[in-house]
Amino acid sequence: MSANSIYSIGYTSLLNAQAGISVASNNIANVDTPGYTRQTVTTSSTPYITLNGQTVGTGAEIEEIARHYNSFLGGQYRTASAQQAMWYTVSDYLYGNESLFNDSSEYGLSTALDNYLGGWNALTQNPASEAARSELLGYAKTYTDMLRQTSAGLDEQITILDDRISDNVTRVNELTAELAEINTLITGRSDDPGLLDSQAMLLDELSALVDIQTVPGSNGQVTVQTGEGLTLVSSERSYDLALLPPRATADLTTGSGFDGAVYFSGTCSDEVTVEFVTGGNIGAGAQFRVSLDGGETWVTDESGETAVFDAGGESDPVEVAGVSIWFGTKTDSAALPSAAASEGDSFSIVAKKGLYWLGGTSEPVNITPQGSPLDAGGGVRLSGGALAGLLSCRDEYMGDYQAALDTLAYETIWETNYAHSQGAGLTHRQQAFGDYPAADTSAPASESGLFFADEITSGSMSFAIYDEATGDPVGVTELDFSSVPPGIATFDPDVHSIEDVASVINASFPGMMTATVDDGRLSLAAEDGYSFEFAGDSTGLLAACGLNTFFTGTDAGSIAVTPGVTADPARVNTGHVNGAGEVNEGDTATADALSDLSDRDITFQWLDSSSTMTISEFMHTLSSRVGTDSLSAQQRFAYADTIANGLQAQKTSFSGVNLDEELTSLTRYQQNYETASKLIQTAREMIDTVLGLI
Amino acid sequence: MRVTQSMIYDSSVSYTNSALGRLIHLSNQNATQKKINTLSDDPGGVEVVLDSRSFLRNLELYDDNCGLASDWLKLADDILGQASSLLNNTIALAEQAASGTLTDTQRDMIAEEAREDFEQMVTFANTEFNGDNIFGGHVTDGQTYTPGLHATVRDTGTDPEAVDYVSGSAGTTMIVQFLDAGTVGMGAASDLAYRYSPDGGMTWETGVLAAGDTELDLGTCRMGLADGTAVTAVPSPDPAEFDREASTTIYVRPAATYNGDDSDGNEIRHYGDAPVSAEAKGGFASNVIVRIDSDGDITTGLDYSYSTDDGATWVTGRTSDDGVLQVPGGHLELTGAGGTAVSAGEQFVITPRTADISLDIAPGGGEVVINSVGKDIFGGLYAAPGGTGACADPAGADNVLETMANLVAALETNDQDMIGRCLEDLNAAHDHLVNQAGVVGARAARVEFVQSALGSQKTATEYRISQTEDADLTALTTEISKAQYTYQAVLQTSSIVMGMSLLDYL
Repeated sequence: MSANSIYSIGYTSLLNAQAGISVASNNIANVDTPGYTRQTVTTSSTPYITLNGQTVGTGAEIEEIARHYNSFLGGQYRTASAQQAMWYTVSDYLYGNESLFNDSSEYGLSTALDNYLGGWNALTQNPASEAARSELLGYAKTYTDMLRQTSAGLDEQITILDDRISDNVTRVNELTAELAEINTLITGRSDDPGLLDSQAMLLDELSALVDIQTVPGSNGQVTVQTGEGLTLVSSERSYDLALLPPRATADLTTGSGFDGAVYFSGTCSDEVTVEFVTGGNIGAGAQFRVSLDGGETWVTDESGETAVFDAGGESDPVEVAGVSIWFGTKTDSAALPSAAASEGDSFSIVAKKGLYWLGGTSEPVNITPQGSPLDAGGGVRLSGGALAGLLSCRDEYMGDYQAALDTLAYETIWETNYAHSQGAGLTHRQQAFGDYPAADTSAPASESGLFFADEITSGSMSFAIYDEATGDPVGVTELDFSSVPPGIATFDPDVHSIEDVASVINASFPGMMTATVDDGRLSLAAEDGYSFEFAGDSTGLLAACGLNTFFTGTDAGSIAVTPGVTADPARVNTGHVNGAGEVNEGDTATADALSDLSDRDITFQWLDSSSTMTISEFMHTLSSRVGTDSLSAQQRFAYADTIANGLQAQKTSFSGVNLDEELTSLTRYQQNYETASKLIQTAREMIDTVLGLI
Repeated sequence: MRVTQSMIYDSSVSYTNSALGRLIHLSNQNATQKKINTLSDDPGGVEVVLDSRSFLRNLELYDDNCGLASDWLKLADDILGQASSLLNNTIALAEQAASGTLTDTQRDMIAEEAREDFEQMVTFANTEFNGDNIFGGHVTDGQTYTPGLHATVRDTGTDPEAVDYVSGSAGTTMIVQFLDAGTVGMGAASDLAYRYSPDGGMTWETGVLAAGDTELDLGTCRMGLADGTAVTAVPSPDPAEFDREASTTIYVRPAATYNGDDSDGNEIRHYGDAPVSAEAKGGFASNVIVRIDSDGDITTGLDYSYSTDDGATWVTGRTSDDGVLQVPGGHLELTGAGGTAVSAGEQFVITPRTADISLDIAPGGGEVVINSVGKDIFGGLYAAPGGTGACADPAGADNVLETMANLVAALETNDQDMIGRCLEDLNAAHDHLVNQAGVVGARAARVEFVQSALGSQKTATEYRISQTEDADLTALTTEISKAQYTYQAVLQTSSIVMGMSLLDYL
């Protein structure tokens, strides 16, 4: 044991203390640095030596500067954080959305609807009153304005969501690229705390956007997959996500020889799954069913049975949930495929911008969340992270609300117009203009392209003719369709076209009234000396053509009171042409029928289910649904938040910096330093003492 | 557990936030005094409140309708009560006149009063509420009854329906007799001389009806006779007291014509070309569409559906094997007219002549008719749609106005026999009027009953809304104090924890 060795021990302890101070100061300096992981110095004894048969210590050296990171907690936290971020996004948007439907102020959509229906009641009290008519028109205008505003509000939300989705996808791709970059850099430097901290931070940020799972490699590299197992980062490569425009994919049964492809137009917030239930050629026997939730449940008809549709070509598409579906060959949407479809062949139509994974395979893989995030899961669809939350908000929530509003508007327009088209106003008509255009006026009415074509039924209609000068009834005449091919007396929507209707009217009222078809619209005009009135229509054709109707538009975004009625309140129909061919001022038949809408049950076809209730009840159910969605999202967020925060606390508890602790370390190392210098001083003094002997 | 610096600050922030959030939430409830301020506060409750509010608004509408119905019906009830008293007065006049021991002056006064009673009855029948006729059916504008003239054929030998119309005016009843016998109108062989008296037969004017002509000039008025009416001539020599029975004698007397509409009968619109004719029997409140659902035969069997809302909804699966199709309010009878086959898709629209103004007064389709068809109460002359000219409708004693007008004629012409007959008719007319008043009175009573039931429903609904959405003030105040206390505690502990550092002690 020499004084030199004491020097040496003193010197290393001095270095050790310096290292300790440096690590503690680094910890203190980074107390607020996001993602920083606390480090500590671990020392170990240097080898003992044997001196004169005695074992003597040689001091201590730094073994490692340890980074306090628990990768198990890190992984758990990221899983929880994905849920937290998703529910935060959903609850945030839904909470904001509530105000669109909130009626607690009594100035909401429900009140406007009640007021509108109440307006018809006021007219039953006083059918001739100009004031009651203006009041009704005011209420109707408020109601339609509010529907349009609410619809526009939802559109706005959807636009914002689309923007954020797009931003987030870009960010995810940036993050995965950066992670791949770190994977490259970290090779051979697997203990670089800076790189490891960056990697952990990037993973944390990524997990808030997409649910991920990680597989750490021994070389410091990390493999990142979506929660559902699609690889995002592997070694030095990253795989991008992308938003793709509407597209359809086929999933044929083994052995199916079907050589066609599915085509579609229109948009739908839900993915549409088409599955053949009866094999056969397109347009000749092949039938399919439709699901809006990936095959969990199938769209039903009004009687509650699974609806089965006849597959057709481009000229005969099937309309489901706002999407027209038809089949063509793989190269030509207008040509019919030659081979037959087999039972079980299915097609998936994504009639919206969807999120896809572009890794590996030639076909993009659809990872857009499907169904409510409350029971999400299954397959490769995203089930966590802000991106899943945003997509769910857009499709599952806002999309459904928009569809519900459209259904509400549809039923309001159709039920009002049907009843209104049966009635008569205060003055006889000189002319009437159709409001809804038909794409093909020579095709049978059911295929004419009229928006309400599906509502038209068999039957007929009557017109009352009056002397223009005296107003005396000339007579009520029923339309007889025998004069046009195929010579059947009543109107049949699968046979007679709009042009047929016009020619029958012209044949029935020569010299009194003429019908013309212009630009797809049916119009009527009285000849000189006559006026006319609509005297009942059991086909719904008048309502579908927009003749003698009250509302115009087809959905929540376009509903409005017909300009003709707004301009002339006398055109609000309260009465009707009675058995004596007269329209009397005190008659309230039509006002009654419309006022009765307030407690008449109507079948609402909303997305894939149909329910029977009054218009007001439907509106209230919608409000309640908005509230329930928001409440359960809030509750799920609270739950996910608690878990994530707990894990976050555990993680920081393990990896975070405590200033008091660092101060203690600092004090300790400072004292170590002082003591080590004392050691050197002692050694020097020892040597000096020895040298003094000479 | 290690506590790190960021945990201290993060948890302070999150505790403060949640405590403050709770306080703000409660203070919001306190400000609005409502438990439900946004949909997610209680989605189930929201639906209850919205449904209840709609129901309440409907109740208010019903209540409003009840108020209006009650006004109309009370007015009608009141008027019909007065009409009944008026008719009693007329009956008393007729009884006095029938006693036969009256001076001319007394009889003139009675006649004058009877005429005034008639005019008053027309005024009653023309009653308006807020400018709307209450006895005109759907014709709420214009005058329900127009006063005018009509004539009664007095003798039994002449066709009682001989008079088509009377135009012009006459202050008193005019007696018309013929001096020549013959036929009026196209079948006339020669001119017919006639005489008329405006003063009960004291003085006469004469005139000549040219052959082929049907309209008699009576000075201030003109009377049209039916073409082909056979008339007999005044006996010769002319008796001193003119004879009402022996030859054609016509009284031109006051009358009132009904301009409102009726609810008698219906019109069938046939959509299709089946060789059958259709007739609907019963009382229909609104259009009923009957649709044939399968090719069939009216004699052997057919399937049909019907709709009472113009085709919006259908009641399906009905069958008939005798051409009689049952529908709400009555039935549709199909009879062969060149064939008996009907094909699927044919439709028959029963379009009744509607006259009722009905208001919804109770949930679930409770309705009340607030107006009346005047001619069914007061009678008078009525030209039915599609008919020819105005005639007494209803025929017979139930026609209050015609019966009263006949009394006026009998009194003004001092016709004792006719006064006696009128007295009987008047009693029958009075019974009819009282019956009709009873119908209106019953409706008014029902409205009152419904209105009070609506009141209790309204209270119950308001209570339900309040129970669901109103905040419980006592509980709320306690909760707020609690939340306030929590918030203060969080702030205090946070500040203590954040303020501590080892530095203070080194």
